[in-house]
Amino acid sequence: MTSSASLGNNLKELRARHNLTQAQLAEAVGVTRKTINTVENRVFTPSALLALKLAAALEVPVEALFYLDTADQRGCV
Amino acid sequence: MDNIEQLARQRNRVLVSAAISFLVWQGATLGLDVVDALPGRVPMNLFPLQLALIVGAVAWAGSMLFLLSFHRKVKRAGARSVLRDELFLRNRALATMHGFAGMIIGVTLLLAAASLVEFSAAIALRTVLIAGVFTPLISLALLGREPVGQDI
Repeated sequence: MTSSASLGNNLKELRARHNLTQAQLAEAVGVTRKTINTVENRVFTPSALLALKLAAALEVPVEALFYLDTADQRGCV
Repeated sequence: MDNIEQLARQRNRVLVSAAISFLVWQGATLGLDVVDALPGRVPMNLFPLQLALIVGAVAWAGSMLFLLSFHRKVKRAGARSVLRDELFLRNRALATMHGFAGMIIGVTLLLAAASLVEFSAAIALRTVLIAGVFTPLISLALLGREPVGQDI
């Protein structure tokens, strides 16, 4: 089985739902605006700690915020 | 929060000013070393190189003061942990690798050049020094540049 997976996210949508700018969310989790921007644009993969902080700030479970985006999904038996 | 973004922008300006001033200062010094090493007395106007050396050295000293002032501002704002977030640490590691790669490339080119021309150890070492200092500074500045687009 081969798969090329990357980390997808719903950060922009969830952030908009809370009416937060990138800078406001950045301040809430203790990072810079650029970090939020690069996570949103899938340029930077956050650590588990940052992912959990973002989920807590957006009041969602972390699985609702981040997901595995597989380009090639095959079932494994 | 504006303060953090202002400090992040200022950090980038510190990096760029340090990188460019170092390049000008040491580049001019390297140029003078090369001229000194030329065979025979070649009549040449060295004023541009000498001026660049002085301007570069003063600018480098200025950028070190700028750096000190920046650190004090960060300390006063209590912003150290935010500015050193995981993205910055990753970018710093990348920039360090770029600096290392720059030095390896510099050394490789010098080794190739050594088979064609003779040059002093000072010229070789200064070339590697320039690569080792300029590359990571400018790389970190580029990696940390302001995100494009509005913050919405």
